[in-house]
Amino acid sequence: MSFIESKAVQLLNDLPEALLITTVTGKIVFFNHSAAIQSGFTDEEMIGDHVSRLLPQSHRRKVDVITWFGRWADNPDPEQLRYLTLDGVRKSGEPRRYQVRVSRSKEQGEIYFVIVLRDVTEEQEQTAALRHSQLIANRIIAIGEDAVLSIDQDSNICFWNQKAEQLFGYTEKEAMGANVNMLLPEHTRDVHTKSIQTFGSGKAPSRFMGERGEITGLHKSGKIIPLEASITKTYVGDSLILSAQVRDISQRRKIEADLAEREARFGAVFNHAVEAIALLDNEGRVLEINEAAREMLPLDEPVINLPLWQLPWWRQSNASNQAESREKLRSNCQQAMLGDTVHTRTSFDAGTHLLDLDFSLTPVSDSNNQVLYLIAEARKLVGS
Amino acid sequence: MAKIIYVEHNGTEHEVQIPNGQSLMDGAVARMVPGIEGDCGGLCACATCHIYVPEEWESRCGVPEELEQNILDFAFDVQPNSRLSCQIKVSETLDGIRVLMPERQY
Repeated sequence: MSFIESKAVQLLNDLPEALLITTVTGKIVFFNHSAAIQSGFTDEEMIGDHVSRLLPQSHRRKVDVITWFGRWADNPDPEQLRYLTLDGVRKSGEPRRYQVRVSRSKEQGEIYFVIVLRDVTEEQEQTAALRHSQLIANRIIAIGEDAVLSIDQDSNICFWNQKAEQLFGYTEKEAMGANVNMLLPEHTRDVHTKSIQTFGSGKAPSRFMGERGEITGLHKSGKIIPLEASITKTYVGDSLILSAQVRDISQRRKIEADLAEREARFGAVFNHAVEAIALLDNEGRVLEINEAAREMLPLDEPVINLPLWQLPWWRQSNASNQAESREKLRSNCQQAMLGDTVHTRTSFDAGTHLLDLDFSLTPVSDSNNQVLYLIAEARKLVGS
Repeated sequence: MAKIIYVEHNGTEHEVQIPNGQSLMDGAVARMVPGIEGDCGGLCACATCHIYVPEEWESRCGVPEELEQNILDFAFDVQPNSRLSCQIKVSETLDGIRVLMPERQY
């Protein structure tokens, strides 16, 4: 071996990359120091042995590595520097992932494969873990009830989930790259631009739904949609990405309006009834009283949450009469709380005289016969 | 646009709509279907988008080129109906196809 040759061998041995040379049949003829460190085998163990010793014996993969080295060496693809990724195994039996590049070398009529191995196990595990966490996050976004979209610093849309597609009517293809103004009614665009600029340059990393008022969106069809949005900012390199979670609140608005309408209708009946009515909880405390009932009371006396029998209605000049009538009322309430409708006559101190009242307590029960409310009704008896 | 059903090895089914011209791999990755990795981005240089195509759909998926067949050698648990999903382009003729995924891609 000449000086140059022995230097070259030394150099290959000291190469930081794992390198091995095999014959065309896969017999290892050279195994450098890095290859030994990487594989756990010494060069004495490997030289003369078959290259497949570095691969796991799996009946579920059919790859014939020597055929493959031949193919890959024929098509070395220098521009792309493509590596084959193979399952490998260390001497200890520990599975590893190797990236492999192969070239063919002809020396005195003999053909050899020159193989560079890179152990990418950890790198691939990290990439896989990252990819899986991304997959989880992306799938959560995909099933979320809210539309999610991001815009870049030019206000062009750069993320668009399926709910955004449903909410605004634009497919991902239509939305990506389009300006966010497309999603806003024309008269709100300037204000929106200013508001995202302020947020972008401000200190807060996020703003949550409810922190700012309702906003309006524009559906592809031209329909205006009331919306609520949370927004957060992220820098990717130097460019600012704003991401928003957007919720259509038109359904909620409708429910609120329906509820208000129903309450108004109920109020109309309740407050304009001729009879005095009080709604009590299932312990006899006043929840609501109507106008007619309020007229029977001294002005400004609080009644809500007081037990019915302690209301000033039953105040009487004679203390023992008062105690007696309150006690009677309390026992009537208790009877109604057990589920019985109570119908009775009572008298009421109207200041100058006593009013005779037709008085009833009706329990209101749920489907399990559990009393939820009592309705107390009082009507003046004719002639009293 | 075609309806594609990706069936994970555990039986979970993902039914997605994929535009014509996209590969089965791109469509799965874009719709966040787990089980198809597509490491090389569709260059037919890895075998991480391996799927099984039911016999009755094989002819509609086209014949695999030599490169695909070569790369498939590296896939886990290769069967006669194994394909790389990056090499199958979606068109209406694939509407309703159910493709099955292997136990793992690595």
